[in-house]
Amino acid sequence: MDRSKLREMTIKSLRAQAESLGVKRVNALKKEELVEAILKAETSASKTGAPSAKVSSQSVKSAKSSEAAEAVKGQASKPTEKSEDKKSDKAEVKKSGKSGGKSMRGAKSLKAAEAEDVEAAEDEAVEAEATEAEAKASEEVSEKVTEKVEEPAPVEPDSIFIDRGAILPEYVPGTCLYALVRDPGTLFVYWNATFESDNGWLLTAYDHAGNVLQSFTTPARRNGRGYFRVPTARVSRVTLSIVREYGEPEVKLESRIRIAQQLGIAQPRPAYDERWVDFQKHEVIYEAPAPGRAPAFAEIYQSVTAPAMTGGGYDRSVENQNISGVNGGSLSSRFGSLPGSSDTLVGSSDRLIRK
Amino acid sequence: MSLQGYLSIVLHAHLPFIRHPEYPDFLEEDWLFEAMTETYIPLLRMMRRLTDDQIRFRLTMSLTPPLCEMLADPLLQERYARHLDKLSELAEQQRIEKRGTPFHDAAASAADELAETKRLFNEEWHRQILPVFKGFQDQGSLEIITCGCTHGFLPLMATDEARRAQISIAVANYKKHFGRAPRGIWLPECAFVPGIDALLAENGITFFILESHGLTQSNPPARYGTFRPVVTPSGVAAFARDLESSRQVWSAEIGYPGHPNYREFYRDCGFDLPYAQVRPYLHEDGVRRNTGLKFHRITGKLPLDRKEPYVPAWAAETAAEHAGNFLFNRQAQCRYLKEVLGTTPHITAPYDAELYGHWWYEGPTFLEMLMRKTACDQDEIVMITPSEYLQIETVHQEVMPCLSSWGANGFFEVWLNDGNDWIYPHLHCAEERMVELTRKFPNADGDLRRALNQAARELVLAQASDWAFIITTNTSVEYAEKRTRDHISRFNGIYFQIMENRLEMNWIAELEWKDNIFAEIDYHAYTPVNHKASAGAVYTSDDD
Repeated sequence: MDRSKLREMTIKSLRAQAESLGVKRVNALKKEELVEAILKAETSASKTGAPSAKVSSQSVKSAKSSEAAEAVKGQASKPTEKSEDKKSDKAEVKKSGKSGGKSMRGAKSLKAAEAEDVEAAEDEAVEAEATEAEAKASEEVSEKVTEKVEEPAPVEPDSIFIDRGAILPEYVPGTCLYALVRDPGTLFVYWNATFESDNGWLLTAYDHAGNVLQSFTTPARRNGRGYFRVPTARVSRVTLSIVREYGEPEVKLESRIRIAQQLGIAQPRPAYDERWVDFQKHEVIYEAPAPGRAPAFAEIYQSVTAPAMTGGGYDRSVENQNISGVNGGSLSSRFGSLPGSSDTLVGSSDRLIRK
Repeated sequence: MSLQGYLSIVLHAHLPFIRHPEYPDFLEEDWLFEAMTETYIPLLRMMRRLTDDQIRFRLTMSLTPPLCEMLADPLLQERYARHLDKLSELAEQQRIEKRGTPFHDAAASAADELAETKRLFNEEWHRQILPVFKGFQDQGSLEIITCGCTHGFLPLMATDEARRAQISIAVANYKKHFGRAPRGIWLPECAFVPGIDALLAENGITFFILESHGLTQSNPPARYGTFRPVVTPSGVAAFARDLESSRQVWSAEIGYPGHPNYREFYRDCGFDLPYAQVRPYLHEDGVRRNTGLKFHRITGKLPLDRKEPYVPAWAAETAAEHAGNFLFNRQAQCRYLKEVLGTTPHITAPYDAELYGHWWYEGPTFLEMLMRKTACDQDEIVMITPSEYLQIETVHQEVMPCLSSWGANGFFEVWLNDGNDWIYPHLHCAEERMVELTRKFPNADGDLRRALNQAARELVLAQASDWAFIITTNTSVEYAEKRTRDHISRFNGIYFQIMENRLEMNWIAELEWKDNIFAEIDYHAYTPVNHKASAGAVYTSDDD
C-alpha cells in the first residue's frame, strides 16, 4: 500500500492493518512507526511470497541520534521495497536531490573507475608478477563492483524506528528518602512517599550542629529527585517534611548522611602524620604522630627506649637529621634519603621532647 | 646514566556487553568489531612483533569481564568474521579504485592490514583472541587486570553487597578466562570512595588504578603525590595517574593524536563513497555510517572537505618521533623528580585502550616505538607492571585516597546528573531486592537457582556505568536507556516470579539465551552482610 495512503488512515485502522500483517506490539507504536512497520511487513511478504511476514517492533534497530538525523534528511525506502512504494519513493527522491544525486554520481564514477582499473591492471600485469596477481584480483573485484552498480541505485532511507525498551514503573515501592554525594559541593536526593501532602514537600539539609544548610520546596508529588548545593562534608542529615497550612513543616522522613565521612570528604585525620608499611608483610615500618597530638607518657617512654620504630615514635638520634638513621637503617636502605622528611621529624620531635 | 624512574603504561580495554542473538545483525555490536579491528588485534600484533624481536616490554591492560565474555562468545566471533569479510572486500575495492590517486597508499595499507587481521583471526587464532592475551601474560610481558564485572559505578551503588558482587563476579570471571586470580583492578571509571579498598582486599586484589586527585588530596597527604603508589589501610596499593604523561597523549590541544600527519577519524568512506557503492556494507537500515576505512589525514584545523590524503609512511614516522619525545619527557621528568623527591619515582600512565588504534589510528605504532626505544636506546626509564613494582618496592606510605573518578570535573557528575539520575531509584531498588532474594533463598537449586542467577545477571547488566555515561554524552541515548529499562524490567519480572512462586521457565530460558553473560555466575555473590547499606543508606522516620 502507498505510504501516503497509509498516512491518511487512522491509527486504529493502521493497528488493525499491522496486526493482520503479523506486526507485534502494535499498541506501542506511533503512527509513523506503524506506517513503517506495515510497509516493511508488506515488503517481506512480497519477497518471501508468504501471505504475511512477522515484523517485531524491534526489527528496526536504534541508531545514533546524529545518524538518525541524517537518515531523516535522506528520505526514501530500501532497494528491495516493492513496486507499490516506488511512486512515493520517486517523489521523495525528487524532494531530496542530495541522496539521489549521490547515487547517480556514484554510478558514473564507478564506471569510469572501472575502465581505468582494467587499463591500469593490464599495464601492471606486464611489469611484474606481484602486480599481476593484484591485477587479477582487481578484475574480480571490478566484476563484483559492476554487478552491484548494475542494480537499481538504492536511495537512503527516510526514518528509523527507535526501540526505547520496557516501561519502568514511575515509583519505586515503599517510603524512602535517599541521599548520595555526587561531589564535594552537591548532594543528590530522591524520595518516595506513601503519604499525602497538600502543600508540597520541604527538603532540608542540616549540618552536624543542627543548623539548616539549605532547604527547598517541591510540588506535592509522591516522589521526586533533587540536588542540594551544599558543602557535602558538612551535611549531617536530610529531611523531607510536609508543609502545613501555615508553613509549619512536619518532618516525615529522614536520611542520615553517613556518606560524607565514608566518601573521604570529611574523614577525620588519622592519629599519625605519616605511616609507612611493608606491603608484603603487612607491617608498620615507620610512624610519626600527628601534629598537636599529645603523646602519653608511656608512648614517650617507649619511643625513647624501644629499638624498633614501630608503634609510633622514633629515635632521638634522628632529631634534626635526615630520616636515614631511623630504624636501624632499613628505611635508608629502602629509600635513600628523603628530602623534606627531616622537617617533619624535627617538628614532631620537638613536641615530643617538650611534652 | 643509571635508573631514574619506572613507567607503567596501563590500557583500559572495555566495552559494554552488547550481544543481540535475537537479530541477524545489530548496529551497536559494531562497537566491538571496530575495537577488535582497530585496537585489540593491532595491540596483539604489536606485542607479537616485539616478542619476535626479543624486545623487553611491559604493558598492563584491563580486559573487563564484559569484554572478555564478548571476545569469547561464538556468536559474536562468527559475526565479527562476517564483518571482517565485508570490510576487507570494500578495502580491496578501494585499493583498486584509488590506484593512481594520492589515496592509493592509504587504501593499499588499509587493505593489507585488514587481510592480515583476517588471516590471524580466522586461521591462526581460530577466532579466539583471549588466549593470545593470556599467552603474553604467561610470558611476563603483559599484566592483565580486571574491572567491575559490568563496569558498574561502585560509589553510586546503594549496598555493599552490590559493590562486593561487582568485584567478586569479576574475579571469578577472570579466573575462568585466564586461569588464575587477578592481582589488580581498574575500578570502573577510576571511581573510588573509601571502603572500596576493603572490598578489593576481601577479593584478593592487591592494587588498583586511581585518578590523580584521589591521591594528591588523600588523608593524610601522600608524601610523593602521584609518583609512588600508596597503600590504603586495607592493605591494597593504589597507583595514581600521572597528569603530565596523560596530557601529552590525551589533550586535544597539545596531545600527539592531533598531529596533521595522523589519520583523520571523522572522514570515512562510509560517507565519502557513492551510496550505491557503500550500501552493501551498511546495516539493514541503510543509514550511512563509519566503515573504518579512512583515507585522509588530519591536515590541520580545516573543514572535513579540505582534508588531504593520508600518507601512512609519514604517519609512522611521526609516531616514532612522538614516541621519542614521550620517552625524552619521561626521562627529564624522572630525573627531576628523583632529585627533588630523593626517591626513584614511579609514573603511572593510564589510558583508554580504544584511544590506541580506534581514535588514534597510529597509537599502536606509537606504543611499539616507545617500547623499542625504552628497551634499546636508554637505561634511565624501566617499563614495569604494577605487580612487578610492588615486588621490587615493598614499603609504601599508608594513606586513604579520597572521593574521585576520572570523569569530567573529577567526581561523579558524569554518571549522576539531571539527564540520568532517574535510573538510580530503580537500580537501588533492584539491588535491595536482589539482596532480599539471596537472604530468602540461601540454598536454592534447580529452576529457582537458575532464576536467581539470571536475576543477578540482569542486575549487573543494568548497573553498567556505560548507560549513564552515554546518556550524558548524548551519543546513543535511546539504546542506553533501552538497555537500562530492559534489564531492570527483566530483573523485576524475575523477582516477582520468584516471590510469587510462579516461575515461567520458558521466559527465564529466553533471558538466559539473550543475556548470557557470566555462565558461571552465582547469586550468592549478593549474600547479605551484617550492616546496612553504607553509601547512602535509606532511613525513614519509622526506622528511627
